[in-house]
Amino acid sequence: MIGFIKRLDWPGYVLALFLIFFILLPIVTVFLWAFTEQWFYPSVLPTKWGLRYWFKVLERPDVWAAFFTSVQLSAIVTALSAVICLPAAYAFARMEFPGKQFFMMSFLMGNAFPRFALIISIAVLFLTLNLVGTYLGVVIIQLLNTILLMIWLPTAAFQAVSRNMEEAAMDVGASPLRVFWHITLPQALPAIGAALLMTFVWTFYETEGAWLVGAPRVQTMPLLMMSMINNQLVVQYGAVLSVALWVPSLVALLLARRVMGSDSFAKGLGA
Amino acid sequence: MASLSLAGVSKEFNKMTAVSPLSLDIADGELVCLLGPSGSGKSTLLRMIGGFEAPSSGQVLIAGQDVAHTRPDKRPTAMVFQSHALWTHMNVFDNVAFGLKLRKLSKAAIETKVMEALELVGLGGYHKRMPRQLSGGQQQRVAIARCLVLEPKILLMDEPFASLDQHLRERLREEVRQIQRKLKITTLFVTHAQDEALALADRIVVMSMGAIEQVGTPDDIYANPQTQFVANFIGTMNMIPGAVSGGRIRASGFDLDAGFSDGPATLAIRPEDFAITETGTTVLVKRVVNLGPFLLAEAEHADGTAITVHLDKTHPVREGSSLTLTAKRHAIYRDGEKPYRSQPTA
Ligand SMILES: Nc1ncnc2c1ncn2[C@@H]1O[C@H](COP(=O)(O)OP(=O)(O)OP(=O)(O)O)[C@@H](O)[C@H]1O
Ligand SMILES: [Mg+2]
Repeated sequence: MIGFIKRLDWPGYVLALFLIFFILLPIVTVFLWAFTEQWFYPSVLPTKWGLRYWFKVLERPDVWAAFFTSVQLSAIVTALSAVICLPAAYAFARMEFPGKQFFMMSFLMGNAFPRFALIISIAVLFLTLNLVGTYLGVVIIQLLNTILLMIWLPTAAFQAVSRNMEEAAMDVGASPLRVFWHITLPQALPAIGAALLMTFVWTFYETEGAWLVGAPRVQTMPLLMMSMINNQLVVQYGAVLSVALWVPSLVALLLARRVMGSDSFAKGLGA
Repeated sequence: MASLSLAGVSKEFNKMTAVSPLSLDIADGELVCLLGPSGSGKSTLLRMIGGFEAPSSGQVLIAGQDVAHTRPDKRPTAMVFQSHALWTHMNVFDNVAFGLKLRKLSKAAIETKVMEALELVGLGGYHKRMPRQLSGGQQQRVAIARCLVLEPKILLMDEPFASLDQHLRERLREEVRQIQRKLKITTLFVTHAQDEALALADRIVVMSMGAIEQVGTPDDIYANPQTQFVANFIGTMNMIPGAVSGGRIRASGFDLDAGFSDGPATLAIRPEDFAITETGTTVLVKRVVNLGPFLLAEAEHADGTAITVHLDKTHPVREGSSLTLTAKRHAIYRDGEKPYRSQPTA
């Protein structure tokens, strides 16, 4: 421990403090609140622990309704995103066509733009199209959100598939379609799986778009959490939901990260 | 099993010529090595035969049929890549079976054929392994089995053993030779290692800068290199600048017959084609290297020309001593070509 501290120089200390204050502390606080029944100032720790609010939260029908709305929404958005983006990703990875560079750049530029401003302008457009407050509107705005990830990751994955592997398959008699189905797709699958997983998780937690376009009629989980935290003055509701949702999404992201740390993925990005 | 003919085949990439129009005939059952330095167009030529590149011009005839613009999956060729290119998500059995499954053979027939092919390359019992559980040599054997199981008419191999160590290379090279003899399959083998080509080939095609320099048997190529490039590329050749006049070439003290018109020319003598004699050219030995069966002497003529000589071990030679040499056999090149070859003197 001493040795560890000794090796940190001052930027290390600053970084450590920063991490503790802005990341670790809030997470710990949320965890504490989730298992708190009573917490009187100025006690450092809750004065009464318990699972009472867990039961309260799980009894609420609006929580379950929002949960299923969010799962359904995320599944639909992820599926649509895959249907639209995966073929595009393959085209970007394997084909030459005019405007390819422009397309790739335009995705980046769209994502570099301040997101909230972009979403507002889309929401205004939706207003004229009568999409505001509709399920379809939320699907579309969240879909737009996922496109960058669902094109870039799979493009890298397809690029990482060895050309020789595909040629070897052609060589033994596989048509281009079969090569894709039996060789290219299985080779790229782990990274595509990671992209799907991340898209699902991100969509599940997407807030701004859902709020601007969907609220109050389409009630997603994060929107419900927001309203609970803002209106009910019972911190525990939000905390319980955060912790409950944190675990599956952490597992999903860890899984995704494992795939992305792998060799083939790094190669794909380098290519 | 079929003959292969290239007729005026060429390939350009964005106006850059990778292979100049060339023609070549390979007989049924022959094993031909494409030999040449990096970038000489060997892979490009092979890939045009396999269907992975479309020729810019010319015809690729397999058993008389032009397949120049046929897709690889419709050609009776099979290719072994340098990076084995096994499908890492399939086990050994599935790698070898994939082509047969596409041909809709019965399960039993597939199993028999796959096991036979694995047996042939010495991998019986390895069918359940994943590619990553195999050594580099074993992976390459699977790649070979994957090709052979389809009984292709033409087998193409692009530096299949380049990433393996010397010992393993020599062993696999022998095995390929034996299998090729047994199946009598027309084979084109790309390499940039001359020992591989000399040991393996019925005929060697030496390539340089997208063109064929010479086609011949290993003995022929070694003994009678048609161009200065081939002479330098295969084996070692002393290249001694000189001049021809009155039917003789004079270069660094050598004075030899030359069926050449007068003018500058290069005298070429292999290190093993020198004889130690009473009279001749005297060179000073700079370094002696023991190469096992013989000695290699790096010597220098008084005019500064370096000359390499092979000596048998009975001959006493030390660094600093001098040797008097004559040539038992020589060749003469001008502008890299138009060789003159002397008859070997006993
Ligand atoms: N797809 C391609 N696009 C552009 N140029 C290419 C392509 N493939 C090959 N070339 C060029 O064609 C020439 C011949 O390449 P090729 O790969 O056939 O050489 P090689 O004899 O196989 O060399 P090596 O021994 O290094 O494998 C090289 O100059 C190479 O840069
Ligand atoms: Mg090559």
